Parts: sequence; C-alpha cells; structure tokens
Amino acid sequence: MPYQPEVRREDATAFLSHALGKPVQVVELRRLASGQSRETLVVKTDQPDEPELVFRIEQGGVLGTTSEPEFKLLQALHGGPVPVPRPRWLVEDPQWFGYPFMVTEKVEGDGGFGYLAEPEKAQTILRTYIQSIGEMHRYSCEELGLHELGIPKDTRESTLQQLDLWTGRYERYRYGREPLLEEAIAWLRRNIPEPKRPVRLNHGDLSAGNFLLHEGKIMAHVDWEWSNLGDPMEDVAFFAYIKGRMFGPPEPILDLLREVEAFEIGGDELRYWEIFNYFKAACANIATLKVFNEGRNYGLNMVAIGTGGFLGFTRRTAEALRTASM
Amino acid sequence: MRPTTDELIVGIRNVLEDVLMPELQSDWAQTMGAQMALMLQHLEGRAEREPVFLAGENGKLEGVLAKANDALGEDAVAVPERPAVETLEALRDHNEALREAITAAIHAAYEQGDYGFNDLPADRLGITDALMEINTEQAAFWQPIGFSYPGRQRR
Repeated sequence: MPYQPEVRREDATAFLSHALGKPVQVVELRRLASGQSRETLVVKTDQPDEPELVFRIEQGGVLGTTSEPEFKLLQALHGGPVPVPRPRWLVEDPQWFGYPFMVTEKVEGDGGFGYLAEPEKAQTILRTYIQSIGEMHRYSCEELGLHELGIPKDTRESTLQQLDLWTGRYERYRYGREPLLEEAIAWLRRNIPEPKRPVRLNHGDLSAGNFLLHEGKIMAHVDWEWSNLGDPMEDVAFFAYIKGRMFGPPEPILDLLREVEAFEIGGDELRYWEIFNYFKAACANIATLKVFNEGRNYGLNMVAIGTGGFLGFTRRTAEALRTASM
Repeated sequence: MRPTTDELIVGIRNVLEDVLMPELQSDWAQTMGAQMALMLQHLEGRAEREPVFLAGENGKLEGVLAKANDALGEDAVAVPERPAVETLEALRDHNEALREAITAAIHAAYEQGDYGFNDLPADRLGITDALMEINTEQAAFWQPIGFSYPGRQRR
C-alpha cells in the first residue's frame, strides 16, 4: 500500500473522530522515514487536551510481527520503572488504514541519531543507553507487572519459545530452503544454554533510534515488537553484535555492558546468542520479500532487505557458527 | 526489435533520475525514487543473466550434494533429477529441490553421530566452503540493490 500523505490525513481524521467521539481535525501529520516494519506517523490534532499521537501501522507482516503483543506489553509497562510511551488504542480492523495499527502518545524526546557523527557525544549517549539497558534487565518480570503475559519457567523454556517463533517465521516467509540457516536452526536447538539466571524482559531490538532522548535522559524505549520474556543475554548479544555497531565494535560495548549487567557476559553462552541474533535477523529480513511479492507492501526497501539483508545475515550466521566450532 | 528491453529500461531510468527525482519533495518519495533507479539498474540484462546464473548455481549445488552423499555413505539422500528442458521455471524448481536435498543431508549427518558445541554437520560433510561461496555469489547477483544509493551511473 503506498504512502499518500493526504489520504493518511483523512484516515487519521476519520479514526480519531470515531475514537474520541467528536469531530477532530488533524492539523499536522508527518511520516517518520526510519522504521522498516511499521508505517509510523506523528499526528497533531486541533484538540488542546490531546497530546501529539504516534500511529504505528502494520505493513502486511513486514519483519514478521503484529501489534497486539507490543501493545499489551506497553499497557503493562507504562507507569513503571522502564519508561515507555502511553498506549492509547490497538485497532485490528483494517477499515481505517488498510492494516491493523496501534496508537501511543508521543513522548518528549528525539529518536534521531545524528549524534553518531559526533564521536564524543555518541559515546556519552551510548553509556546512558547501556545504563538503561542494565536497569531494564535488573527488574524481575513480576516487578514490572508482566505476570499476565505468561512468564516462561526458565531461560531454557523461553529460548525454545524464541527459536520456535523465529523458525516459524522463516518457514512461513521463505521461498526455498537455505541450508546454512537450516544447519543453524538444528545447532541452536541442540545447544540451548543451561538456565543460569532468571527470565527477564528483553527489548529484542536495542538500537540507536529505538529510544527517545531529552536533555541527556532516556525518556522512553520504543519499538518493542521483538520483545520477549527470556534470557537477557539475547539483548546483550543483539546490541553488541548487531545494532551497537552503529556506535563502534562489539568488544568495547560488551565491556560497558559488563559494568551494568548482573550476570557474567562471555563464553559459549555469548557465542550462542550472537548466532541466535544473526539467525533472527535473517528470518526477519526474509519476511519482507513475501509481503512485497504478494503486493501487501510495495515499498522498494522491502526488496533490498529481503535479498541483500537476508543473504548478509545468513552469511554472518554461518561465519559465527564456524567461529564457534573452531 | 529496437529499442530492446534493456534500452527501454535504461531510458526509463534516465527519465526517473533526470526528470522525476529532482522534483520529489519528501524524504520518503526520494528514497523510493532512488531505490527504483537501483531496481532498474538490476533489471538491465537480467533476462539473459538469470538462467545462466541459476544453471551455474544448480551445478554447484549438485557438487555440494554429491560431496555430502559421499561422506554420508549408506545414509546418502536422494538426488533430484535434472530437468529435461532447462526453462527458467524448471531451473528454479531444480534449485529448490537441490536445496531441500542438501538440508536433508545436513540433518542426516546430525543423526549419524554425537555432536558437541564445537562441531557442525556441514563441516563434517566438507560442504561449508561451497555453501558460503554460493551465498556470496547470490549476494553479487542481487547487486546493485542495497541499502544506499551510490549515485547516478548512467550507461
């Protein structure tokens, strides 16, 4: 579905008038260019008592996720120690935007990452972010009010759940089989680490751009669609080996993470989660091809992700497996 | 017949880059325009390139499977038959069947013995390097589609 600003303005106007039960005018609407899995719109209305709103519209299964689990998590987390935007509406009915979507209140803060061009500033922000990651992992799932989401009994069970989830996405969205990934799936199933620490909240996609910063403080963590209750080593490895590379190489980032996490980071466990995260990224990327080919989203970036992105992460999965086997 | 498919694609790309893209206002539209130019670049010559590429890859996959089957011995997996006529569709189907068979071979290797954390079936079968090479060649086939636009490369 194409992005047409005027159509989206009409869609948002119709939905908000319905949801708020009174005529509402949209006075400003802009699309955030970042974000692959959701069409993200920031909407300002003529209602003085309404804050700016963020619409996150699904794009036909891009990156293999739906809005409901993310919305429920935000409901549970909002008001607690892990800062998140206030969730307002979860709408499954495609009549408004063509796809299900969720709406949150906009949090004051900047999600841009222009600071990456300023190394010193970037390192300060990196330290602040890593501090907040450590805090996120420090709370038990019960302390965060997540008991209703179903807490796995240990990290072995949660890891198996994550494996099933991503393998299921691979099976649903792949065209042919990719032997290198198939080997990784078999290896990941055979080598699940023994439980050594409690199940914790994983963000699942820790990254520059997935937190909002205001005056040096993290105001909210956003983009929770890959979140899960599991082994926090997943988050550690994901950030150090994948998205944290925007800040620099893995080892210094791992050292910073060691300062804030309450568990030992290293060894075979870390290697396991490095491989798992490359595999997860490959599975997420292959999902984009099918939604493009089926006409559910014809953003051309879907093709780039589904070909170059998928092949790149498949290669990294296989290379990391080889490193583990040496 | 002239213009050829490639000449038309080049013409469309020239108009896109010279006439349309400078007029695009939003970041989103500019990103899509840039990616469209990359797609058109990729499409130039693809009709001739794809069957040759697939036939070559299938040959390599057959080699991988033969090597894996040698190592598997009596647990060797079935080898898919080559298509009688190598149409694009038949080459694609054969490619998929070969990938299925290699996956089955990897699983068969896992069934043959005990594996530790530092032990992999594709390595025991001696097929890792060839699979990595196939992955690299696939990535090259999809060029220049990527995440950034290298700028105008007019032919």
